[in-house]
Amino acid sequence: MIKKIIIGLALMSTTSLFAHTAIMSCFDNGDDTITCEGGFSDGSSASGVKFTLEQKGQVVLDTRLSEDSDITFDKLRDEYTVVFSAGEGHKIYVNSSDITE
Amino acid sequence: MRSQLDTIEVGQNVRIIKLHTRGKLMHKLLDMGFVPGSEIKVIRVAPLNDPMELKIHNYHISLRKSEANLIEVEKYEKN
Amino acid sequence: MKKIKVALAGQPNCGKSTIFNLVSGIEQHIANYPGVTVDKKVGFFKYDDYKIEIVDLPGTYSFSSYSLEERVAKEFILDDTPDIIVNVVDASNIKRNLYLTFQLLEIGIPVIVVFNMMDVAKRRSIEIDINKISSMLGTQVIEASGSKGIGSQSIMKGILDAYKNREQYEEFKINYEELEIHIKNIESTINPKSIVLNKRWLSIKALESDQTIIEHLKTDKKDIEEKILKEETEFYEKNDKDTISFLAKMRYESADVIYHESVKEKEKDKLTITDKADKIVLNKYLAIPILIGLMFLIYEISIVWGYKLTDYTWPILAGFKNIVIDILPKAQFTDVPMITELVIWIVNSGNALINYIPIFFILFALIAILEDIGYMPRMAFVLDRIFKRFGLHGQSTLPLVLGGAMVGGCAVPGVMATKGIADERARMATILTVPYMNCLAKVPFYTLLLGAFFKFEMTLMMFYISTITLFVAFIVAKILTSTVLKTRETAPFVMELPPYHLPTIKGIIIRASQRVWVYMKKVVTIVLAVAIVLFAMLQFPGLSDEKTAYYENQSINALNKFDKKAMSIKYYEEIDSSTEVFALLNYYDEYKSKRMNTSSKEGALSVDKKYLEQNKVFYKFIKPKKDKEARKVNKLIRKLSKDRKRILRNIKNDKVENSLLGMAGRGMEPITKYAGFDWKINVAFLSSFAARESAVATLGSLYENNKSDSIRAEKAMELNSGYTSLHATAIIIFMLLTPPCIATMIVVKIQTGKYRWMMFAIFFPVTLGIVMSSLVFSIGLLNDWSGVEAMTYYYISIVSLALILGLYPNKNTNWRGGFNGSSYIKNK
Repeated sequence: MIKKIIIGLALMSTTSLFAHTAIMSCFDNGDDTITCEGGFSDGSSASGVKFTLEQKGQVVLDTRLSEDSDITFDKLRDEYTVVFSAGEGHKIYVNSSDITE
Repeated sequence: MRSQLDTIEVGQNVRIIKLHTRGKLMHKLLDMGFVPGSEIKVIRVAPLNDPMELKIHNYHISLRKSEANLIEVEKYEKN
Repeated sequence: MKKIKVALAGQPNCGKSTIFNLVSGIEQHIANYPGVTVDKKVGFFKYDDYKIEIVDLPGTYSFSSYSLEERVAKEFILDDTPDIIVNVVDASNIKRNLYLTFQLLEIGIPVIVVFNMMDVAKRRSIEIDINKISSMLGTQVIEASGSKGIGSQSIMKGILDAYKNREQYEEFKINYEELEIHIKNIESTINPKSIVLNKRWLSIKALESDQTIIEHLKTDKKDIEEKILKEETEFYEKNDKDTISFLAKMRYESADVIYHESVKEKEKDKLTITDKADKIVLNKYLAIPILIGLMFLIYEISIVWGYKLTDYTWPILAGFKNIVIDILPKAQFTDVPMITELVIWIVNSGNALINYIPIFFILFALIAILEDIGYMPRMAFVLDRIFKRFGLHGQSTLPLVLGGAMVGGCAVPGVMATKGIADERARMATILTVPYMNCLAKVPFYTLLLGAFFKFEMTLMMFYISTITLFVAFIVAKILTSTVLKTRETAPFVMELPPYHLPTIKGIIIRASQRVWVYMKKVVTIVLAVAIVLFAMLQFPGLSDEKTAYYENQSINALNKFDKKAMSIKYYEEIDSSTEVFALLNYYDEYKSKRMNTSSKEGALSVDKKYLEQNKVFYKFIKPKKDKEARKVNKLIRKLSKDRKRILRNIKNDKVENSLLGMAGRGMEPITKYAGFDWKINVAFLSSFAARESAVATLGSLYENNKSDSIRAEKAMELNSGYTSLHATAIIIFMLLTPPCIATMIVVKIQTGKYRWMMFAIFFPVTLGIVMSSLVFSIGLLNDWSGVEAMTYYYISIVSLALILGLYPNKNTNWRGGFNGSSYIKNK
């Protein structure tokens, strides 16, 4: 099932008429959770794209964006970095200190 | 001593005797100044051993060995 | 205002373009000469009270008719009859340049000669007696140094003087001795009334077998060709020489005479800066590493840094999109007006294309620098031996690198960079093979698939993917040049290695801007038109009545759920009607997307402020802080938003499945099943060619957050049913071969000039892709290969095929030379 989804989503999300820049933004929901939403500049869905949280060089969360191209996780105590990885040249890093309410 | 241009060593000076070419190649060579009597100096050979870089009429030109093969030249020493 | 029409002619590398830019400023037009893909540059300037139009003819070594550029230049002279010809000459290379000068002087139109690069000549201690040359040529000789901006006034004045004195112009004559009588014979047969141009010039050209001129003469006298042949044969019989070699020899001898009488070279054999530089750049061991290094540098600066630049330009485009959305009619829960969808689709497409412009500008500027410096011919010199075996040219390197010879590139600038390739056949081959290189946009796709199916062998697979494209390109080039492109013009590899010189900033910026403009004008417009068509193909015929009812039901359910839970909340009366709920939902979604667009803290604050002002109540719901009741609303609205997104997604999936495109996908299944693609994958591919949110996730249900553990478990189950790694390999192989995007196809049309090649560039790779992936899948299935095994075998076959084809020599069928038409004679 998951693999079917991945293939389908993979096919949809990329090879477009014209390629695209990756974008992501994160949001503090105010209830100790953070929501990050990813996408591509031409509106392509980013669901299934790898999403990780890194703290002091260690990966503390390793998952993929949902069908809505977003993900909600519990806010971590110390500083961390959010990584959206859609391949070489399509990586985005966001520092937890830049995530505002 | 007559030879084909592709056999000439780097650094050697030669004079053109005759072009054994026809058609497009001949026109191109003539346009670029490869007329009988002109002087050529072999400057170098490409890293993969082909083509050759030549100096003629004060400018530099590159020629494949298969093309240089059709130009009959004679060596001479520059003083 | 009086008008003067000027033609600018000169050999390649004489700095003609710099002079052109110097004199005509920014006001330039670029078009094509009729029917061919050769650029026609026209500039304008004013001097005294004359308006002068100056046409930059293509650089030509001679004025015969053996190359496209020469024919174009000559036809311009014949058809457009300019008033004055300005001949730009490289002052450090006078002898060879005079070969063209003589031919221009013989035309009979007043010529003024510009000795350009005088600064270089001075630096090389070459002393030129300008007055002597001027009197020997019988025309003005003006000194200039285009790259230093010196000479424009003198040139403009020179043009004016020549124009004013044109009646007194006496044509220049070389005494061709034994040929003279034949020239006169032809002259006498030309009717002066019907042919306006200089008869002597026409006769000389006719005796040179110049086809363009002969055709021109035939319009007046049909049997003139026989007469010409008669004279040629007589000359040959009497003197044992053919007219063409004879004329060339006489011209060079005359050039020699002029040279020796007016030029003194004080340091003849001293090494120039170019010579010294070439000792390193063309060094046997250093040449190739230097080349690779330069390619890498260009790639790094333009694509990697340029991409980072888009981080700054993208928000502007996204901001524009948000403004547009604000204007459009709003959605009522799951009922989105079609006009809104269409406009968003178009804006997305447009933005994606415009987003590329910073990258392209940098890229085109770097290429222009490389061209102007003079490195391109050296690149060809170094790599020619390998490339020619596959029908390509040393100058194919840059286009292939830009298209993505390394990790990823873009085929659009790659194809555009094929402009300068001298050999027509190699140029076509390059244009048609650049699309096979690693397109950057395909990378996320590979990464996704690799992550799912090849977690452990990711590096190996990535290695295969990035390196296989070059071999594929070689194979395709070889096949094309041996079959479809067999009859194209090739050129003997007789190529000048010009002195290095520094480019001018003005020239670089003008060229880069011109190329970006071409992209905007031609690519963006057509792609947007196609986008509209695709939109229609994905929308219609739309949902069936049952499905519409079904989704309406779903929407109602979601709203009811919301309402039920909301009833117990303090703020219920703010959200008890559907109008209010829809408004809140839209407010929430728009807020989120606007916040997503701002990266700075100040930006975030200003968005917050705006939304607070817009609606205090709603703002409380999206930012509840400590308000418990508000938090409940917040949670509900988030859930509702998610539900809505899910419903919209499913609607879209159904719509697409049902659409024209969907039907196409189903129709293709009988063929694609050999590659392991069922109709769902087909539709996915088809719509991915158009992409965006048209998620054909008929494959999917939910993809929830933070379920990393359950993912692994499900993966294990997955291996026994559904798609396997072999499927994934087949898909990857297909993806490697398909054309990257429609923008590329359009540039292919521009560079080749014909729609037929664009069609070929679409259908051939797709067919190849299906065939290859079907082969691999079917054979893999029979032998029960894993995805990695299949990919490995495929890789090995491709590399071997490339090597074998490389050893098979390319026949140069398109020009003859040498004994009995064969072109290579083994040495003793």
